[in-house]
Amino acid sequence: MNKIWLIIKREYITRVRTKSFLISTLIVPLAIVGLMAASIWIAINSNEKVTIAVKDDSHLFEDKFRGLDQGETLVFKYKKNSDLDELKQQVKNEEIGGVLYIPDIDIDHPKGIKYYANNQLGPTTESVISNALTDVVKSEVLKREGYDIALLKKLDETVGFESIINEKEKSGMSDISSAIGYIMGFVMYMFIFIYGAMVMRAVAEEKTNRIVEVMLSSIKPFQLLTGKVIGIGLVALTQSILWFGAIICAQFILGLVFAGQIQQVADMQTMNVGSNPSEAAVLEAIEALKTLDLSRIWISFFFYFIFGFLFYGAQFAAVGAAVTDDTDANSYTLPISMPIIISIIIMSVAVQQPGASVAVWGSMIPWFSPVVMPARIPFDVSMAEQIISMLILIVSAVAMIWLAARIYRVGILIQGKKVSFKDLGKWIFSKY
Amino acid sequence: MTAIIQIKNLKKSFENHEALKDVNLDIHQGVIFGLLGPNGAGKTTLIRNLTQIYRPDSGDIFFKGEKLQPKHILNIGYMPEERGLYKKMKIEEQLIYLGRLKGLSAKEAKEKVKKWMDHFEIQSWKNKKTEDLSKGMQQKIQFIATILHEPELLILDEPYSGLDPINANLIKDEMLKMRDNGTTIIFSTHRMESIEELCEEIALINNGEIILQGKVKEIKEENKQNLYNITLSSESKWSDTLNNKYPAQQVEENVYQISLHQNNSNELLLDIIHTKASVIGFNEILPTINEIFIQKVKNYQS
Repeated sequence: MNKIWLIIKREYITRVRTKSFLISTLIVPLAIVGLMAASIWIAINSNEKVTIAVKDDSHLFEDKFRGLDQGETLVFKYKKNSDLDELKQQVKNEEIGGVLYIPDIDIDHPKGIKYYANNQLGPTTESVISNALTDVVKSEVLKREGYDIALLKKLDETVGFESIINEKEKSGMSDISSAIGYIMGFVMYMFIFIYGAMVMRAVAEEKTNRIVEVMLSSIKPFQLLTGKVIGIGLVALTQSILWFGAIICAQFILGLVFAGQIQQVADMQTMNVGSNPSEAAVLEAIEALKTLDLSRIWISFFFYFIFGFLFYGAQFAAVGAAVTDDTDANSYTLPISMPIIISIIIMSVAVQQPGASVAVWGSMIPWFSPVVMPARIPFDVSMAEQIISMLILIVSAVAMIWLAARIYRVGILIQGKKVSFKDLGKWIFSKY
Repeated sequence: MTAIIQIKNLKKSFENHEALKDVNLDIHQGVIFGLLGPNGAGKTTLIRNLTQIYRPDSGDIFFKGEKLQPKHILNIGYMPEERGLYKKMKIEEQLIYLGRLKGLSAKEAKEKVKKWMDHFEIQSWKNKKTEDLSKGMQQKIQFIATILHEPELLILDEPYSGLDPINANLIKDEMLKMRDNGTTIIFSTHRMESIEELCEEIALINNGEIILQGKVKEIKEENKQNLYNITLSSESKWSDTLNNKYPAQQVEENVYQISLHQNNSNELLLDIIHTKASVIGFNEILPTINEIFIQKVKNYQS
């Protein structure tokens, strides 16, 4: 046990100290934060700053443009008494951005509304204005026909529904659950692949630089293999925790820095969509997050991360021990990587239909469960189901390590011989 | 002399060949023991059984009378023929790590690494990575890694392979020093020259079997062919009378080789002196281990 610990420590420390680990650990969160910051910045700065004078001869729109002002970026000035030509002159002199001219229109045939300016309006602003115009004309027509406007506005609202799962309220959570499920499944997939390949390379390196015989005169192959997989698995875990941590911190900081602007962008978007009030949606999402069992999600994530990595890392180690050069390695990793790729496909079903039988079975089979089950956890998988899946994975991971160690102990000492799958089978049952 | 290693009826086979067929061998404490054999004879397999990398199919190995078990790892140092170190690791760290895997505590490992690095005067290299070292330097490090835990039994598989003469000599001196301090050394090689100057005892392994074992001196005695070289002074010559009685072969100028059937060297000397020839050299020729080795392997094959 003490020796496995020594191996784990070396594998962990020598990797965490490398420049490449430091760089990859920093770059990914920086890239994500950069993307977030850039998208916020673009959202804020993509709005043109324009002051629009509204010359309204129909007198239908008097108050309608007041509420549409968006800070400094879009300002409407309702000019009752100015002359149109005078305003056009002001546009030419660049005192104002443009003039919206609404003639005395016929609400049944609203034609002849014009916008005079030096520059074309962007599509967002255009749709803001067009929506406002449509709204007013629609209301006017309805009013004339004798409808109750207030009632109609009310009818415009979307009717939602609340899900009650296992007697717990889960309003509007399925989108959030999908998102969390997808992220977890994907992170798992990525780390198994990247760090699994790292285990394979590390084993192959020990084999080619021949230190392995010195090692094996001090420790058992099983200890060396287990220590290696766990050590590298911990590196992966460290990196994922740092990434999550960095992204959460960055989100928080960005939130503080851009607080005003984010609100503004949110408001803008709400307005463009029309009637759906954003605050309600945000609140709903926060409520949904609260109802999620976050501690269970995290614990499950780490559990599946660790045991999934042991399960797959052992296989990669066995391949690393069996092959003598990199070109061989590719043909051997295929049987390992196929199930990982299939589990991503099952996972994308699982986040849409967590109860689908392929998702349920996928979260039991150890080749798929490390990716599929974490994706299903936010949907409130029954505890019994999860425990069964976990037990299967623990047993399979231990069995896989045992199996891998049997291939490993033979393969690691064989040099320069091309190994077939049949050989691997023989090694498992041979005594050394 | 007590045996540090006793091997009894050791058998080991792989898929389709018997690597060791019923090996029995005693290795005495405090000697340099030569394990000889052609390539593929089973030397490395035998060693891997001693270092517990392989488990015997049947038979037993005893270390100082006790059945060989994992705790003996600390008492055995092993330098395999195919050597290697972690390229990206710093030397000091690497040595401490390897020492700790042998079972040394962190503190002990550190002290011993310092001691040996001082001994080889390479303290200034301790923070260098292995890949930055010359090959000769790497070999020194490898040797330190093998003896760091000061094992009672040191197993060196082809220790000179790939070594330049300076490092080979250095390792030879260390081996002698360690032997004098009571360490037993198993020295495996297929190169006989190195055996004669170092080993007191040898075993010859061929095709998975021990075909010869014992003290070097005794083996040579047993295998000698009663050959003598006689050197005469330049004026003297090997007369026909002498040649009738003792058919000689001139091997060099004035040097004659004679094979005596009985050990009657005094009579021979008297006969020579009677011919008035003056003898300036007379010596018995013992076979080299190399000759015995080749002879034995040939006999074995036929």
